[in-house]
Amino acid sequence: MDILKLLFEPYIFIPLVFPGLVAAFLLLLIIIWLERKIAAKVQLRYGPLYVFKPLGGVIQTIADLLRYLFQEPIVPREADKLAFLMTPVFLFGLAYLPVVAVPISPTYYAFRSDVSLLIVMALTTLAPIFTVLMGWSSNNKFSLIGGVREGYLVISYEIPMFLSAISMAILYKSLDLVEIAEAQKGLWGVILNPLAAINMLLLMYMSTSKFPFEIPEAESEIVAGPYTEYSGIIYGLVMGASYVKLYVLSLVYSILFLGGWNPLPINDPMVAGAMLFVKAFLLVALGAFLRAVYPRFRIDQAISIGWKIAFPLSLISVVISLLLIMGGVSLVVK
Amino acid sequence: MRLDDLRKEIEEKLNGLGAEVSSKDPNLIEVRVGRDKLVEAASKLREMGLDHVKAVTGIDYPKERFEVVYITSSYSDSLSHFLVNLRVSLPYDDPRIPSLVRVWPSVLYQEQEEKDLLGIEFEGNPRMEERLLLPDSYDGIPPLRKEFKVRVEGIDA
Amino acid sequence: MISSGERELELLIGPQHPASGHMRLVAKVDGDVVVELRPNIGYVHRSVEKLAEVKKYLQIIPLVERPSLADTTANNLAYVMALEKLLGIEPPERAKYLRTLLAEINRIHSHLYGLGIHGVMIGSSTAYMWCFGDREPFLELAQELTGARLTYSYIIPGGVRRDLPAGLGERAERVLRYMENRMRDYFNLYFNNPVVRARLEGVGVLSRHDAINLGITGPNLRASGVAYDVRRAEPYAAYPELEFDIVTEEAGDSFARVMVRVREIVESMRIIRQVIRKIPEGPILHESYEKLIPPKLRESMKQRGMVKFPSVFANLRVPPGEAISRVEGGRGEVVFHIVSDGKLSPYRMRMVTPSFRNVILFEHLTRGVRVADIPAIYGSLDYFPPEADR
Repeated sequence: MDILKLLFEPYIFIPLVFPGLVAAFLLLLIIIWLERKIAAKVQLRYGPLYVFKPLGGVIQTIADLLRYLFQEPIVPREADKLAFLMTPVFLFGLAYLPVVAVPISPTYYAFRSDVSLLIVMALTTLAPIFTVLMGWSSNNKFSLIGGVREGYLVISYEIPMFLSAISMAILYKSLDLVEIAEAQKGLWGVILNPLAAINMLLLMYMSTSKFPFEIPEAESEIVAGPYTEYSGIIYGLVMGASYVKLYVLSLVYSILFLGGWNPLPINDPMVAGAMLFVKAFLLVALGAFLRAVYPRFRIDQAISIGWKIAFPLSLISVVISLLLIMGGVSLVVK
Repeated sequence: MRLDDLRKEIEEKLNGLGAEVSSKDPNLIEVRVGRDKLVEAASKLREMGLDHVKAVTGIDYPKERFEVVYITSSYSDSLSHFLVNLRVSLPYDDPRIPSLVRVWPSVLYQEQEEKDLLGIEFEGNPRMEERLLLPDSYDGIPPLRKEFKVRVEGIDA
Repeated sequence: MISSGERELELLIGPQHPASGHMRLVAKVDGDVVVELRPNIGYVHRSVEKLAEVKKYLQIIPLVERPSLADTTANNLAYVMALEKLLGIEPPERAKYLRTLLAEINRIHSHLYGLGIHGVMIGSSTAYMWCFGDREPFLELAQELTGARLTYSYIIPGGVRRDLPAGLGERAERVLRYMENRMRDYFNLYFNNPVVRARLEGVGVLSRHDAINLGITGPNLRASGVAYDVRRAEPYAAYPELEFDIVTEEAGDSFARVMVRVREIVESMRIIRQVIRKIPEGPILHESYEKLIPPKLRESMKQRGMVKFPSVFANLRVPPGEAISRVEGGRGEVVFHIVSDGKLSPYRMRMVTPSFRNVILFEHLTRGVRVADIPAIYGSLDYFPPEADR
């Protein structure tokens, strides 16, 4: 009984169960299946079907995961072994770590900080370092190119993404995610500053290499980019990492722009969490849907989108926020 | 343009190169020249507007001669109906021929293939040292020569 | 490994690479820019030319089809046309129309194949699945006509193997109408997609002058503004009696090459409609062969609409001489040069496929492009390694 109680303590429940590890894992299983299913629908196919047919092959991903588990992980002879094996673990860990700072209701959070938005954004920027390291340690030319591409992309999406997030913080006059969500009891951020919302959505997909920005691992160009030499469950980890990162960013995005847990029918942490999760899930699903619509950009085109479109847009959205505040829009929760 | 007109025009153009020109209905012209006059004849044909080579065929007549046929034609409306074969005979023990890659860049790979599979040396083609279709390590008889016998298996054997 | 002081990295793309096909591209890259790229072909060489010298004339028909699996009719037709020139026979009118019908069905599904592969090369799995899915109705039409999905071996000296099945006209019309509807979807999702435009427009530009100079053929040539099509230059089969336009584009870039294929699909559908409307009644095999078949068999053959091979086909002897034939296939011009010495097999058979003539474009178009442009250009050429290697 005590153990169960302990499990529901926020500082354990949030990182381990929801919205942390267990929820992320479930989302991973469903979203990969859903991505294939959506693509199949658009492409006039069935998609995964045979593993548990009554529900349209929904546990196909579990079957794939089992296969990954039993597959021999091959480490190339010339690779830097320590870095090669450790980077996927760090990558996955860091992709999921920011979740600790995400609150799921006005009263339920692992810890409350005045700067939780900054903590989340800062932690998400750490993961790409390991992608670059992965490309280097594999000792494969395609991996190297993929790693360098990731490096180039990072510098072109991080700054505008930060600015877009900050523009909302200016608007809500807070860096605390709880306050930001509470401030949207009435109007959502997406209505107040739609430019920042669109911009951040674009950059979110760019940072997690969703189509049309699936550039670091472009299959027809550089095999699988940084992940070329990975196999078995360590490949499963790196593949999952970008989904987890997208999931975390989607949680933040929902809080920044989509009102977080608002509108809240009853003040219960679980209901609030479910509300937040559904919003984040839809955002991740939208990212999965893009695969069926767009091919991929070239690296130079993506970089120029980052610098020539997203960066000015993010500056403009900061200005919009400032103008709104000067115009007397007050959203601060007392 | 009619076939005879084209033949006459080619005969005039190649005057003095010792070329034998003949024609075959409905649209084929055969030009046979000596190996030493090949590049010159080819340049003249190119000037006439025969702008590309469709095929380079090397034919092996064992112990007698090799023949190389450049099947040329044009992409222009007036000439595209016709095919002009530029044909050269080579002595069997000395299968060397000046490359036409400077006249028609389109022969680059075709000449390389004939060298690869038939062992005819096209002097001046930059790809003569490289294998094209065969493995780099191959050093047997060029497979398209008649002395290379295909091993037959199964019901035909 | 890169040693210090070196700027260029040598990339070996293929033969084991998701987008290389059965060939190797040796690329030297400086940063993201390709300095030099050389195709290394021959991985799927099957020595068709040598094998032809030991096989009988009729056995060569399936042999020449195998290298270009998506575009077999062109090879089949070109080879048989060369034979017919040597034999001095002309197929009956109905057989000519049937040849045209199959050639155009084949052109459509060959183009769809090329467009699909190109789609997945720039990352659009949807274009790939759609094109391959929509090939299916055309494959089924061809199957109904010939009995096979890809390797038809439909065209034989003096005619074709089977007559038009009853009701194929209506079914073909249904397929064409389906394809016309689908074309709108293709434009909405793929051809007018801003990302597709950004990836293909202005990439791998082949000037008109270079296209002619390098002897490029097929849609790749016409995308550079050269209106050359064997169906016009040296008309064969039923083409002289049919109305169709030669599709050209001026830009010469990857997108123009894609557009030529798309518009040729539309043009081919127009030809198929005309063939079905105009096809004359009559025999499908040349009379000199038909009369060799025993009368009883001839009757049942006519009833079933399937040709029984006359015994002379088993050991077909072709008069000595040389013949050159050319045919406009889906990927471009197929040229056959057959030298016969009057025996049971050709003395020499030269087979030049469009992919082999276009292989030179790999080194020509890729100088100075970015690494990501390599698949965008490769795919736009509709290059098929086995066809180039033969």
